[in-house]
Amino acid sequence: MKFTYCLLGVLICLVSCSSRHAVHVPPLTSLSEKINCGKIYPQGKWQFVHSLEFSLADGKKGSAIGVSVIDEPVIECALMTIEGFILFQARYDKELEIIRAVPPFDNREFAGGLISDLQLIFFKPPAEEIISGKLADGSRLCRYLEKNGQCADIVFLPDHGWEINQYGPDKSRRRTITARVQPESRQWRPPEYLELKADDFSGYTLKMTLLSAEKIAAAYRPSSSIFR
Amino acid sequence: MKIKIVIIILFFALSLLTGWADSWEALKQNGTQIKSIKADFVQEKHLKILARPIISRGIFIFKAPDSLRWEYKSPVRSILLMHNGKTKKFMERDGKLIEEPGLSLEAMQMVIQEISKWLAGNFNDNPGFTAGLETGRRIILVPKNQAMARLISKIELKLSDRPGLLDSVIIYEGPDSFTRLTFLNAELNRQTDDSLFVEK
Repeated sequence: MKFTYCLLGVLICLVSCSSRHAVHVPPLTSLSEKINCGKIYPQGKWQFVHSLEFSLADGKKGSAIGVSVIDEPVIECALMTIEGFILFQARYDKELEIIRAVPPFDNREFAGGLISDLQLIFFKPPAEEIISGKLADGSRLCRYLEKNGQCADIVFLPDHGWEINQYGPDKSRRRTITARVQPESRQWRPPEYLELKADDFSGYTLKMTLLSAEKIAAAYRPSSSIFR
Repeated sequence: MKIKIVIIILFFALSLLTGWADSWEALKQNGTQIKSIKADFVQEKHLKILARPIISRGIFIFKAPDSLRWEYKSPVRSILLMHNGKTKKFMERDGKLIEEPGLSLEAMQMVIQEISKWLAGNFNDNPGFTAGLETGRRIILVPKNQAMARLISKIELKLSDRPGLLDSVIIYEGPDSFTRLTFLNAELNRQTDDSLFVEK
């Protein structure tokens, strides 16, 4: 069980560890035109299967397969070993329901952290106000501002990819998600690679390589699929 | 003369009816004849939330008494090696196969280890499971221990019509989750080098 405990430690750090090198909300120049940042998100119901790699600054690593079925605001997810053994399975629909959790994954702190990360990856950040702007390096972005001072920036990168930076009420960065996507096409395509970094002492990094993506119609019938 | 021919035909007919999977003794006896097996496998992970099962493919090589190479080729490369009581696992990271330090065996890896015992004909030797031999060359293993039963509720083995071989293994984790391993293109008792069980 050494691997699973290491994995759990890594993942719990995502929600509980304090900031290591504080990076703060960067200044932006407002743009009068609105940027369509919502285009990075999937519409409707999707199923994604990712190969996951976890690593800590001290070199500890782990691997797993992740399944995410999303239909905003509902998230169903499972974490399994490559041999197919389910380590963790949960459903979130306003309330968190843990369906299966093998020790040491059987705690709500881990489950809550995982759901928060999936929400940050797949759903638009909650916002009172959205500002379109430009950073000092010329990158265009949308800033999603919440009442409590939290915010999230969606930044478009020059290589067609994008980045989400999430900041806490103290304006220090908590998470960075970087996405590698195929050049723009008429149809929305999921990122082929995502990397989540936590700004805490763990130096936690989660690499997600897309194995398959399915757009799901009603009653779980796949209407189209994108297999890599 | 006619009677002799009828007796011979009857003898062959009866020998066809009494298979290699009719008793634990017959299974053990056939197991001892297995020196090595190489086969492809297809793993299907079924889960209620999945629109389609997750399909993994690979090869496995077994050499008596207990050497095993369990290699996933897709979607993620990984190799589990067992030889002389030592187990190693390699996972692909950034395009390279890296050994997993401090390997801990998950329940599914335990099942993979059990496969080498099953191929040796030992189906009812594990004290952790109650084994039942059923019609249609099926063996059902049910965990005795509550802790194991929370991880695996049942294992179903389908034996091949070729003595000593398995057609499939289904591992049930619960009512909505199971993993099916199907074995294909099996080759029996071919020359198998030990290096396959120690080198990635």
